[in-house]
Amino acid sequence: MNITVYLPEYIGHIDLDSVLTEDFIKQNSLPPFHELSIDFLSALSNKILGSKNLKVYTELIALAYWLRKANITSILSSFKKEIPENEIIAPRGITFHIAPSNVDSIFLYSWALSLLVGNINIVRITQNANEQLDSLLSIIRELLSDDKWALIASRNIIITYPHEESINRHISLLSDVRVLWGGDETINSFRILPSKPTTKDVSFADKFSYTVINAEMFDKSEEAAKLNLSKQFYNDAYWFDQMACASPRFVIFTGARSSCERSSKYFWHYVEDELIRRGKTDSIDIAMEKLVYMYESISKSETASPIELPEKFKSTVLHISKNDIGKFRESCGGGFFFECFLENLEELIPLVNRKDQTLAYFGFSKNELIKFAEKVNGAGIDRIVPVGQALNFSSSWDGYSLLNELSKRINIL
Amino acid sequence: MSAIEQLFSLSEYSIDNNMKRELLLSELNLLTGFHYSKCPQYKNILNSLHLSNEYNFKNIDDVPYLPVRLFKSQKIQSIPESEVLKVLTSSGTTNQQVSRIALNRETSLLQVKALASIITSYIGKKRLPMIIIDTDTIIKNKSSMSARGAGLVGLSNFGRNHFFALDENMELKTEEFIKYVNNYKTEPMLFFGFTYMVWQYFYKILKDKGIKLDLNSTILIHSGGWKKLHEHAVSNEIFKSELNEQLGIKKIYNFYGMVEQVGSIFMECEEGFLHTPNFAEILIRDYETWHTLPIGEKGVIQTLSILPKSYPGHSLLTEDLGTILGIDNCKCGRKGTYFIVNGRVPKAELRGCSDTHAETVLSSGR
Repeated sequence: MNITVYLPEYIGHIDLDSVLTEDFIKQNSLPPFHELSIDFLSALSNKILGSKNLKVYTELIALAYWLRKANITSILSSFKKEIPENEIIAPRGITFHIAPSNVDSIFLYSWALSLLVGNINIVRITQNANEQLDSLLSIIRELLSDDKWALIASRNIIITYPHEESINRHISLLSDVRVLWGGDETINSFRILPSKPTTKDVSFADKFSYTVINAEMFDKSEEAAKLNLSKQFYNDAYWFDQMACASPRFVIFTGARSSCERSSKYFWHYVEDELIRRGKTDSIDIAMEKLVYMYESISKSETASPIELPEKFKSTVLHISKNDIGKFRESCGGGFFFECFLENLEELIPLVNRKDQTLAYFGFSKNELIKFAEKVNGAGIDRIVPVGQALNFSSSWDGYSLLNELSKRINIL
Repeated sequence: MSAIEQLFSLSEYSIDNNMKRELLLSELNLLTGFHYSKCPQYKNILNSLHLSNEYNFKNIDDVPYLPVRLFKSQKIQSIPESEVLKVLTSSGTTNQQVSRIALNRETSLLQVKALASIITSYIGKKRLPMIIIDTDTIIKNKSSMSARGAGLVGLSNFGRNHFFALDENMELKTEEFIKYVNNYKTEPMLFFGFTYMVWQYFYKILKDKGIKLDLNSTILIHSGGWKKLHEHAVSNEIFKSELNEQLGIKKIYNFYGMVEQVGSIFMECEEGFLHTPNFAEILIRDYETWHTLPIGEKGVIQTLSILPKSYPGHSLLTEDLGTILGIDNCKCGRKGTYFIVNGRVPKAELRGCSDTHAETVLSSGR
């Protein structure tokens, strides 16, 4: 069982057993919220922000800001507030992370949280690490070579190996928590592997997200607000080529029909301006993919219709009727959207699905959204955030409060 | 005489492009209307694009197209199951979905007729002794046929005394081959095979064995795409000169065709360009606007053919790249549009949160 180790130091080809030694497995966890852990993450933040190579990767910059001491301390202090006086927090032990194979830096967030609660971490990353991930790993490696972080280095390893069930099985049996990114297929392939009776899985299934725009509010908005909305929407939809689970695939306008029509027209026009401003063009393979996906979609529906023919700098948008919403739960990505008009937010309630993750909104009050979420009553939707924050990581993700999931509570009476 | 009858009655590659486009257009308009009324998916698409009431396009560019990949994901046909004569499937590699093209008697006959018109204009009307550089196991199942099988069967009509040069393990039956060639060396022969197989399992074997021949009146027709050979840095020029050098074959013609439009194939001429036959036309589209591009500009190939009556495949957007080099003025003397193929549109790699599995599929495929 050969693997490649990226962290704490690079080892090309090595037997799994000589990495997951008795010493590694049996070592003590660090205490939760140890100062060293917080300082390490803060040092990592500085290192990312100071790196010339990483400057171009907006999502890593966002990660670096999230890792700053001030942010981490505030996350931890609000978490600690939830803990009753007669309980203490303890690490769960060995945590096995399966990272998704796209660049999605998201697994770094769950790793950081796991590290903070004191867990020992084994992270399996993709076999095809790209430049971005490579540069990031070499920065962490550099950091860990400092003896100052020896306690971190001995408790955190990042590895890769071909999808071999035997390795997955072996590590599963050692783990106290498995954090499964990578969607339904990955989750199912791990569920059938035995783990310890006490092992807990935190799994992130395939999810679907949408943007909901209050057309009447949009109509009334100032030019500047509309312009800003398109910029925020760009961040939600076009980072990661619309392939993150939290990227919107659907755009829903609510309000009177005429209002929806007008808003849609202006909204997509502003988005086009934003794409032009950013010089965001499609490569031929993506343009082809979107065209084919459009034809596939319209061939299957009597109501779906493109609002405009596909063209450079235009998002591909298929308008569909409310009754067809359930039919289109996939997207090819790269800037391909389904659009639908509803009379109000209430109309969305019966359409919400357990697979729905992020609702990014514009033009609704907190109160309206709380009422809406209460009526949905857990049938779907894990997060409700303003447009522009769909991809912002929060320590509550997919309905989990991650610090809670990754730690355990000891009751002392 | 109807447009389709005229196109069949005129001799191949003889029609001025303006007139040809007019004839094609009137037939393509009829086909668009016909498929609209018979094929539900096609109807949805045209309705969705607000093209539901016009089957009278004034310009061939306006005839709506379907991306060819649609035939891989769903069954798209304009005839009831009871009329299906045979189903053609594309030769997809592992993990790839294959196209399924349903043919009725009429379409199948038109395909045979069109292919005959094209091929006989190259090799003459007489049937030639024929060597098929493939194995006969590929054509055993007649009701469901792969693109490779359909190609072989289609072309075998133009030969006699057929000899399949490869055994079921794709090994060249060298002795029998030499015997066959010696037997017919006084007359022209027809060789047919798929480009890669001709190179890999035929030419290379003969070269390795040091067998040189002088088959200067033999005609070799081959097809199937250049992707694999280009990976081995074998261009069309190298292909032709090597086969000429080793076997003395001078008349070597590649053709560009697809299982979704069997029959109206695009044959290479002596100048090395692909020609549109009477029954077909090509257009090149810009991937940034999807508008047609002028002569000389590279883009995505759209192929139009008047043969498909059983499925809406009369206008298809391929995933191949090509360039039109001219119309009616090729030095070879053939009229019509002539072009080259510049390769394939690369496959998009959009990867999401849910894709650790993609690797699994690929690695388990190995």
